[in-house]
Amino acid sequence: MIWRLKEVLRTISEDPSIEGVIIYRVDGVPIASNLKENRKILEHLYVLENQIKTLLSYIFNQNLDDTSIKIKELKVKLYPITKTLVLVALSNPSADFRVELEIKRIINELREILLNEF
Amino acid sequence: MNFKAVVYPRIDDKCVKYLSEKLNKLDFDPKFSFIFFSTNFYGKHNNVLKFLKDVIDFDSVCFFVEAFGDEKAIYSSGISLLLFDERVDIFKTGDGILEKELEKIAERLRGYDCALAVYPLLYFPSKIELLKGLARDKLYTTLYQATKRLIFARIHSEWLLRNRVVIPINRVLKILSKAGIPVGSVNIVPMEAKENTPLILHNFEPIGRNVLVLGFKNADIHFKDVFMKKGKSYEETLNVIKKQFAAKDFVNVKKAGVILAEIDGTSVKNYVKRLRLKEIEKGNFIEKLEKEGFKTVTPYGLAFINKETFGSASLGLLSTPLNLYISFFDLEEFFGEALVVGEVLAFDPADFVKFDVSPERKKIFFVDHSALFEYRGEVYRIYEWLSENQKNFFLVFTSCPSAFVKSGENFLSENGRNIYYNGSGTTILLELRDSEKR
Repeated sequence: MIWRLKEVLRTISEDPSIEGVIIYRVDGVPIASNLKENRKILEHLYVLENQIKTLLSYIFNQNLDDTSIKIKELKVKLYPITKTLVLVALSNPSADFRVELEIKRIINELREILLNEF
Repeated sequence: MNFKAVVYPRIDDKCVKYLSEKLNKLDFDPKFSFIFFSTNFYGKHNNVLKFLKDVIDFDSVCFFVEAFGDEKAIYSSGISLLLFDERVDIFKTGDGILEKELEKIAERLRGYDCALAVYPLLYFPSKIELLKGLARDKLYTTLYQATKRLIFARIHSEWLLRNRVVIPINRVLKILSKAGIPVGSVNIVPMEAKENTPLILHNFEPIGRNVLVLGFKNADIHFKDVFMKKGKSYEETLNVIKKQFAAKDFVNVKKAGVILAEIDGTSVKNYVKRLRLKEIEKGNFIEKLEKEGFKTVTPYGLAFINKETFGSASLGLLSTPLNLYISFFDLEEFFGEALVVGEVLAFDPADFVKFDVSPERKKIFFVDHSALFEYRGEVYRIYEWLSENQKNFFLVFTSCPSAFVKSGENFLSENGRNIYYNGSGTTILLELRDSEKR
């Protein structure tokens, strides 16, 4: 089923202001991703791993809708998909409303796949 | 009357193949189609348009919108086709005086259940014409500032109207209302304007600076806004605006026709600087129109109060190189004082679509696109509310939807007897009826 999740991630990754999207498990383990080949992003991701784990625990324990952090030219936004999975979107901070709308759209698609097929 | 939506939510090479398959599998013969491209499709749309022109042999109206949505999601990229099973008659203004052309159409609308006008509210012309317009702005600004006589602003306004650079909502609705049927108005201003936009096509031919009026049978038009109700007097409405919006200043304005000449004794260009909006000069303005697009949405507006109904309409305040600022509605009907207001974020985005209508009927919501700018991802609550409370819906996000309807509601946006428009916060609903059940 992972390939179906990856296919949904691919549709949003084509947006020029999206640098990458990753689905994380609540314990911080990534299960599917689509990242643009950008060395800076990978460096940030390495540093972000621990912060993301902390944010994940906030989202699930405090029932937050979503949360975001900004590092220079990168905005990292975390959206819960189910009670155990979260979507992390890495985007250009100046990205317009389209990115947020598209993320909402793919979260619904991901939920449908996860609820029906897992 | 019924419609089927075909949506392709991306901009890529597979679009034509997908549309072709869907059109071949239709189980009815469409008689009319709306074609909506997302605005980020602009410039890449020619292939798809050429394909559609070759295969579609029924009437169509095509334009660019910021986003659209069906029962599955809201999409900000791609194309959607709404294929109708009944005929929709389309009238187009000619090259004569616009008011007279609209009068002729209003005469022909009798006998229809409702109508929908589609037109460019503000037209952004080619670079050469734009330079001419800027030169005229400079000339009349100089004359106005030297004499302080509004006649010069009025002459400039009349030139803009004659050349259809602006087609004011209130003038269009006032004339079309003579038909005595509900009239919706879909006035197109792109969120990011480029030269020679907005592009509206009738049967794949650009309409330029004309008005299309669609005559519907078995359909209704409804209107709503998301604001508090208007007051019964000037003072009451002023208080409503102060409560509803983040009011900044109460100002005196000098205006004529569609021209706002001064705010508190200074040009709009200078006043906008005080709002800390980034200044834009002539060269930069033209470059933006030629390349990435000039943003037409702003968090600041000037809320006017209508002399006849005590309703209110707000005009967005943008940084432009113009000294004589252009309004998208005729300012003559409004008092000479206004409130500078900020954007509203207090209400629920779902309020845009909470109409008291049957969930079963097919319906198309035209929602003000500034909601996308104000709420970004939160605008999805519109979709969530519709999914829980309605069936058979389609959403279109476009600029300042407005209407002539006998609603009996005291909407803040009532600016003329039964004429409703505003710079933000409005929705019109085209509700289709089942022809057998009439």
